[in-house]
Amino acid sequence: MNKKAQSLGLTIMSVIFILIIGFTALNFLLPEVTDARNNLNCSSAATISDGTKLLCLVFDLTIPYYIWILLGVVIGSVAMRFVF
Amino acid sequence: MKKTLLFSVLFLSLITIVSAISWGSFGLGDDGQVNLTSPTDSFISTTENITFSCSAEILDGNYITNLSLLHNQSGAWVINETFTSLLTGLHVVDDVGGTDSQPTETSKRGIIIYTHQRAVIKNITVNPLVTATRAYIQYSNGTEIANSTITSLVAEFNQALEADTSYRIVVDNETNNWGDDRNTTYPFPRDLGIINITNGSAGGLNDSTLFAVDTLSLIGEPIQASLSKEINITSPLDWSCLASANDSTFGYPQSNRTILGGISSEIITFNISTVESATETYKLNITAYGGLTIEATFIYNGTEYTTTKTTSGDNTVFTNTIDIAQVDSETNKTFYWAMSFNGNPVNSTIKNQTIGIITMSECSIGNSSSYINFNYSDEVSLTAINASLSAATLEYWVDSKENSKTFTYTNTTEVFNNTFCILPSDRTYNVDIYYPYTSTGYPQRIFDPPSTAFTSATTNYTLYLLATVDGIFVTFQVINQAEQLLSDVIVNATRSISGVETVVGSGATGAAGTITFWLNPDFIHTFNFFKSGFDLLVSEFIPDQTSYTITLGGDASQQVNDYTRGITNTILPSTSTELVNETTYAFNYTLASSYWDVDEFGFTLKLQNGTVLQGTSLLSSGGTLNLNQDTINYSRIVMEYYWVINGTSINQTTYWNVFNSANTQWSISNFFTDLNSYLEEDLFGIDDFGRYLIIFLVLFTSIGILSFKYGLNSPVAISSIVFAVVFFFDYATGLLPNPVGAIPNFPTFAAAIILVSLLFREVTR
Repeated sequence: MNKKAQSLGLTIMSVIFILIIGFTALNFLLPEVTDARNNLNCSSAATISDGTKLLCLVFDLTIPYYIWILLGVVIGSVAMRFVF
Repeated sequence: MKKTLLFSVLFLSLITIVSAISWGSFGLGDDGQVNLTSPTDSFISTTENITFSCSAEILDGNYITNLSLLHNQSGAWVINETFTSLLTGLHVVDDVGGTDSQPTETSKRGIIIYTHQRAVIKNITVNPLVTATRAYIQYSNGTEIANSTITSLVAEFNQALEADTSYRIVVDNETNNWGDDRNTTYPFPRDLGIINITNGSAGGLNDSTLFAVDTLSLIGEPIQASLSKEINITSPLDWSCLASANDSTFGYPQSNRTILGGISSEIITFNISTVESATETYKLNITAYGGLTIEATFIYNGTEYTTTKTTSGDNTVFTNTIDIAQVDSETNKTFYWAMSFNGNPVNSTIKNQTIGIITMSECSIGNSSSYINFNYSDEVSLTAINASLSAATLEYWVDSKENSKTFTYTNTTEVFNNTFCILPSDRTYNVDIYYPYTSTGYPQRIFDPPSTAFTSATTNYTLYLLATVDGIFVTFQVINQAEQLLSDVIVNATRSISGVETVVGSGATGAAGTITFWLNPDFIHTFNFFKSGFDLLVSEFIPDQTSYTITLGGDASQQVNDYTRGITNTILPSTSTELVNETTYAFNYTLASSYWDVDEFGFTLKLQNGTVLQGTSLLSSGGTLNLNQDTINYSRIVMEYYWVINGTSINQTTYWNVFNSANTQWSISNFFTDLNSYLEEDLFGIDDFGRYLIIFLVLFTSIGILSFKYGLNSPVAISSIVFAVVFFFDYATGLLPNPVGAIPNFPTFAAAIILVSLLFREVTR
């Protein structure tokens, strides 16, 4: 087995490890986001200020961004090993 | 103290009564008993009548006055039968004392008695001429049993006698001088035979002419009695016997016995005589009581058959239908039902049935058993002609073709007619005729009609022959629409002869799908072609060609009704819709039929695992059915809908996937939903114009970047990007306000039209 193959295997194992850790950490993040939205009263568009609304939108995108970043790191790592 | 004493007295009285009852005594202190002999306890009767038997015995010096059978078949205890038991008689031999037997003798005279049953001698009355002072009862060997002083010619005894035993009853003076030597007097000179006992008294011995020695009167009373009575029983019951004694005491057995159930009637219905090939029905009608479970199998001639059971209340009918097989000669066969009553096996009454043979033969017209008569005629001149037969076969049977017999007949001599008889002539026979007939100058024709039922009222057939110069052979080949040859098609060729539609050819196609008739080409014939699964084809034409191909349409497979024809089903929610969990939806099924008359339609909502949620149906030819159903957390809801036409149910299935909205509060969709709602509330003062402006900027920027980066200058490419961005903001996220409310998603449609137009121009350029 050459070095590249060994390196690829190591990368895949690392990626799987990162995925597990990342999605495990996601479970800690979800209630925090929910609490934040509830505390900001984000569902009451008519009563909250524009700044709060903007903050709510940021929180709305927190989880998608987290997942995008996580998948980006994982897919990028694997793709880099294949391409380079 | 008083209470204790009273209680003791009551207790002892109770014990005494219970003892008397439980031991069946004849009163307190009496020595007797009543025994139930048969049937046994918890008896299940397999016969209509039951014989009840019991006996009684008393040994205390009293005697039995009557013995009664008691049962409670009607609900209450009643005395069904009472028998007064009497001593049947004593065998008496006179003159123990030898030949000198003058009644003036004062001593040593007596008689021998032989008891036929147990009895009691109450007293003895001696002849007035006798001067003896004491009477003795001895065994035949001289051993004394009892003695008594004679007072006023009467000696009182209270002595029980054993059955089937000889005793000597003698008189003497105060000293019994009768010893064993008296045995030497046997045989005694005067045998009086059996003296009947009337009202407990054996009289008639006092005859001074014949019996000079001693004249004695005996009194004996029965101490044993028995009763036996056969009774028709129709319901479960308890039974017992009650005996009474002359001292007004009575007795009964320790416990009653029970009849649990049984047959109250057994009726077997069948024909006592039949013939081979007949189908016979046998019925066993059992009426039982006691709620018995009755099973049975039918045994006919040693062969076991499953029987059909029909139950109605206490009445059970077992029915069997048997096809009578052929026999070599008249035969008797036995049959019965092997039954079980609550598991207890018992056979019904065995019955015999006589099986007669059936025989067909050639006979003469007018015979009382002539069933079929064939005459022959020229088809053109209509004159009678003679014909011969070549291996005509007539398969005949009564009911069961499987047991048919075949009569083959050949007659090379041309005759005017042929008549066939069948014996016995009191039945209707089915006959399948295959009848090739010909005559000189006439080609052979075959008369081969379908099997027909004939009675002894003779059926006459006039079979026509067509001369060689008058006809042609016409072959019919029968095929289906797929041009496959059809065998066993029944073909019937008829034509009108003297105004009567007459069969001139009949038969069935062979394996090649063909059949040939000798037909007259100058006349119109009617041809019928029939095969099971096809429509009857009737065709009329002049058979002037030697061959025809007949196509039968609509075979069985094509005749299957299309029960979906004209049926329109409308189901809501649309099956392309994805349902959301925890939501109640109205599930609608609308059926409309423009062709069939629908008997019923309906639908059932189920889960994937088959669990039925709810269902509804309507006995109507059309309409709408509705059910409200909460999706809860189901993953898929299946609708099985159906409609029924002419008893045939057509089932179809559709389903909806249920989207689980849990955890969607963190989705991108949620971001755009919130953004929309915030914009609706004028987030940062952004109104519709602001939205247009922002989206335009996004559009402008993205197209500019793409064009700058990748050199996209083509109108089609640019319009494609425009369409994609507009689609995203309008349809996907709903951020783009719609300026034309009448057309949903108008910006997307407008972008699409522009894109298609540019594409069309690009292609046509």
